Amino acid sequence: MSVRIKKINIQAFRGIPDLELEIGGKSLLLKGENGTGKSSIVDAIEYFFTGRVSHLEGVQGLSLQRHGFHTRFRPSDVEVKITFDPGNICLGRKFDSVSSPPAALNDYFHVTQKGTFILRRFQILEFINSKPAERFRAIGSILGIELLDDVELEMMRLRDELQGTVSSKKQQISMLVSELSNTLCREVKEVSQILQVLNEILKEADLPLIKSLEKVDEHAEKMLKAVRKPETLDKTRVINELVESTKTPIVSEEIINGLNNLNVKIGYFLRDKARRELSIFELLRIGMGVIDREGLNVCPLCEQDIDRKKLLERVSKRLDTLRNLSEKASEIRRISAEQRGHLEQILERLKTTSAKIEQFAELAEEKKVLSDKLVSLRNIVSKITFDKDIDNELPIQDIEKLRTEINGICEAICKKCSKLLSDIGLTDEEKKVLEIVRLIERVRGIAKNISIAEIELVKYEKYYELAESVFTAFSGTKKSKIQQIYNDIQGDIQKFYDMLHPNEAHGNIKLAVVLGRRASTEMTIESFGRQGEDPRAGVNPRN
Amino acid sequence: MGIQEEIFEEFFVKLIESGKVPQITISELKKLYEGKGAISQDKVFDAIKKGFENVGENKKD
Repeated sequence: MSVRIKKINIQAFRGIPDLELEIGGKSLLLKGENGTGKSSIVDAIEYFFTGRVSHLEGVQGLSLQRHGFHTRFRPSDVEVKITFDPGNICLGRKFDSVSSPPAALNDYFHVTQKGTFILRRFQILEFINSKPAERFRAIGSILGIELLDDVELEMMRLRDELQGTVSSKKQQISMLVSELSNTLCREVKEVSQILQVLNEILKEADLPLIKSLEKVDEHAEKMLKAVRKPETLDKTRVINELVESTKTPIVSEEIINGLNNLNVKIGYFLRDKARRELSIFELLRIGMGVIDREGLNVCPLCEQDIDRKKLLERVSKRLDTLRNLSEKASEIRRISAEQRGHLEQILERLKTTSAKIEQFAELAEEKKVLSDKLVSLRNIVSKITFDKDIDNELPIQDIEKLRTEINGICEAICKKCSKLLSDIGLTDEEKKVLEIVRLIERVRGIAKNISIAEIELVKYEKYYELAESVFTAFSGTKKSKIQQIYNDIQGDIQKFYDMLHPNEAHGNIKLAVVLGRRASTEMTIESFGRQGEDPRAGVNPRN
Repeated sequence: MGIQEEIFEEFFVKLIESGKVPQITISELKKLYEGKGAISQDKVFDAIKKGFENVGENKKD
């Protein structure tokens, strides 16, 4: 059975000398002129449950000890008593003592001690005056559900980031397949076609055919052994691999274009964010209200004639743009994850190259430079990690400079390795075999990367699917629960409004969670025959 | 029961009924909710990964 308040007794508290309210478990509506003690009753209830009066806190010169008691009484006279049903349990609070609730009321007190039961006039006005996203936060704070908003945001960020990773993996596979076609100079659509194409090339070169793709390494080694002495075989193979992996620019122009596009989006986002922070949103909203309400045909600032309808449409469009900021942030997070994925692949390739040149004294200088560039690239990658808020643009100039340096050092490695290879002294037959081995190794490397990327893609698609399910379930539950609360209270709001304004042509107040947005509440009212009006349109400093 | 508790309770019921989310992930999310720390993006991802790994292991068995 739910706990209800039966009676409230207030002694010497704030503006109340002595008061007994017999509520009998029903709702209590306080109505009266200014200074008649409505707020003191609310203060007394807050004081009883929490031991505090929130609006007496945080302001210099105000305190419960100095301003909590009635001016004709002493602090020790203050007492607030509440009687609860069922059980007719009477509990009280004084400045120096407080009754402990019985175990049966523990859950009730656990909730009420948070103070979320108090709904003051300023909160209602703030709620009406807010834009939809702020209304949602305002009611969230009244209901004590701010945590849910944070949780939902974290779930949404995870989903966006995983979506970006999935997209990045798909692009990576598509790029690798196209690299495969370019390397083999034949059209290849999937890994299963590689063996057939390689055998065609081997047949044309009059070399033994490969039986399966798994044995491609063994086959390449046999071919090399047939033409080279074992002592120089390993060295030849590594140099060969280095030539192959560095002969094309590692950091392609597409990567820079992708980062540039991302940066443009971040730039727009930050500029919009700055505009919002400068309260243009508020200025537009208030201005729109004034022009609409007063039916102005002249600008109140510059006194020029205006086309009211056209101007209101334009302002409304601009407000929508500002509201879309959160969706833009999602898009930026998704693209960031894609771009980060590309740069991480480059990091892996450079790490492999760096490990391979280790054994060649001739490449010591290049090794040192490459290590420095690896550190710089890691720093850049860390800057594209938008786990939290988006606050800065990407250092594109630094990235472009790094791209030139990385491609330059790779070109230098390729040149030195080609020279090392020619110094070894190869016959025409050896060169032909080496060329084919190089091709096989490159194809094997690409096939391996495709296979890794495909496994990763399956994994991340599943992660994304799960993250989407978790986010959708959470967001849907939250929205439907809050809508239930709105449904419960909108009838009460209407009755309250009718009682306060019996002769006004307003009615049909509706509250609705905005579907398709993460946290937004629309409030509408029928006003002078116009349906679905936002009540902010009718608010001015006088009412 | 507060609204927050009601929402989380319904959320977990919804996850179970959907049949799309592994039990391990649901249990890990419950642990996060019942724990004192913040429910961050990384922690939710860990819960998802645990559920996925478990499904993979079950398939291997």
